[in-house]
Amino acid sequence: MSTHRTPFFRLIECLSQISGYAAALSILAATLIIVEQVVVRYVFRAPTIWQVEIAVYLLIAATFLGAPYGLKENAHINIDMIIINIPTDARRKLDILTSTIAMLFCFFLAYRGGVMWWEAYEGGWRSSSLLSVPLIYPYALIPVGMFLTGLQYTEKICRMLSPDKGKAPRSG
Amino acid sequence: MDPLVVGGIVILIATVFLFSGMPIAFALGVTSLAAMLLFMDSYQISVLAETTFEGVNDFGMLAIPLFIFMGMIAALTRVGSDLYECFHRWLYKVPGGLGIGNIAACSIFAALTGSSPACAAAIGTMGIPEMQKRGYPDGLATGIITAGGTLGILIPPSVTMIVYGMATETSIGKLFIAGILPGLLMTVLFASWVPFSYLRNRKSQTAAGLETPPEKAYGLAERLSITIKILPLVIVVVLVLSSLYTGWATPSEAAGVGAFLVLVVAMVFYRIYRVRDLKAILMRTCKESTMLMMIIATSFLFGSVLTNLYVAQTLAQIIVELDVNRWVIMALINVLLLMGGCFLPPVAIILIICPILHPIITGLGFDPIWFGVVITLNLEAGLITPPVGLNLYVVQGIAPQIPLYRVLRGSIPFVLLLLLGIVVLSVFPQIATWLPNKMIG
Repeated sequence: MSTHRTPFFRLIECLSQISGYAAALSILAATLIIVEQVVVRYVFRAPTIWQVEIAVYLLIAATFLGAPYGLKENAHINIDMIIINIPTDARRKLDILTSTIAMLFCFFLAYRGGVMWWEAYEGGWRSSSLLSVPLIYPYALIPVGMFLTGLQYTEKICRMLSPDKGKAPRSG
Repeated sequence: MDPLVVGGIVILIATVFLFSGMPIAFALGVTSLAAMLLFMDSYQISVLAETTFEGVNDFGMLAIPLFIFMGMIAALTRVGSDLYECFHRWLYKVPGGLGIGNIAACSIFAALTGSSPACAAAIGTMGIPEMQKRGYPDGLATGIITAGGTLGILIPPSVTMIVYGMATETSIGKLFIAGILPGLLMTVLFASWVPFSYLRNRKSQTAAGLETPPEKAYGLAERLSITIKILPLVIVVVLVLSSLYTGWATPSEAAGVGAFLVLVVAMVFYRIYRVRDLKAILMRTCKESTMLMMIIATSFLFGSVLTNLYVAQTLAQIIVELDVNRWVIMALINVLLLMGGCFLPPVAIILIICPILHPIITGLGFDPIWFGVVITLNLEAGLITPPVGLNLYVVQGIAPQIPLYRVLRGSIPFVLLLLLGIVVLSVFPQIATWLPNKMIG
């Protein structure tokens, strides 16, 4: 049992997984909403009001809630042509450094997103469409998704710092 | 400070972070934030989250995950191997018929997916072992798949064209339609290289005393049965494309309905209906989408930083005012794109470079729709050239026993064919512009 499998880190991985499920369901929901919209508009010739806006929010959810899951699954592509040529130990140190910078970026974006959310909450902002959705719902997606991505990075960094040098397999 | 100096510094920071091994999405985000801290007022940093949000807050972008979903469903079924089997049964008498069949199958699968690696994986998984079994040299077998796979972003739907349309405010529907004829042109060019290379290899094999296994003959019944098998998906493809052509549906609507119809076909004809199957498809869609969409969100941020610092405008103005023939500039742009394509995935290149290129292109009197096709051809070449050729890695994953240098050598003729395609399109721009101009609406 490696040191990084403490309950806290298990919780982080679990949150990323749940976030991934939410993102995947958003894509499925967006698909069904689009089908419904097309049927309503072209078959029943009725006006559609909410579908486009909700589908776009689902797209935003799929993007930002998917991000921590994508990080956990190593899905975010990078350019490795230079780093594969440097010695393993130096590469690990570089990975810790770049992961820390990326983690700080995620937390900062989460913080800015949190401020944006707070302004929308204080001001009672609503979308300018017919639907007039309170913007606190879509605006919550960036802070939540980026905070979880930052946490997932924290887990990754701690795992790399742990004595077994991050060789422990990741849970799916 | 001079915008060009600022731009140089920002590009330098971006290069360092991109090559540091940080995921591309975060490297672009970190660079944007660094540029904001260095060169911009603090109030502009406060719109960081808003700008990132706006990068994704677009109905047109929705087409990307939905087309990825559509491609993933198709990839999980046996439709890829059914497609090339169908072409093979019709073409087995033609020399190199199996290879041609694989390229034709890629071009049809390209109409089910908007991504090139997905296309290469779907056809190559069955196609490469089969071609090797029938005596195809390694390089030709892998070259056919890496190159055929690049058709994924040329033949609609295309993730690349969606992003180009967003970045330049060009009609995505028209861009899609513009890709059809060039897509067919590249299919024919790729396919016509196959018999040539195949026969040359067989001659040297016969000289060395090696026997190629005889081709199995197929009767009409066998040909028709496989054709009927692929018919439902071909009908979906035709429906999606014609709904775009007639302006009946927006690309996002076509993507949603297309994904739904492909799912229905997969459930009915390929027996993919368990919750476990659907979950696997969705989670893979989620990974692929979030990877692309995060790059889009941060590239959008990066592009807006370059615009805010007047880097894009200054550069564009200098180039437009250069006293040289516009085709010289076009050639230079192509070199730049080819080089960029070797390092960055298509989506990131387009979002970073199009805010700079678009004013140049229109300023020089080029058609943005035509240029969308040219840029795609360039990026296709980038997908099959090292160091960051996604399709090369896909093929390596499928056939790890083939050394990378053979894969690379095998893709060289196809890169040259792509360059030939760019030249042909420059001489006859109508290949790209004729169909979209005939579109309704």
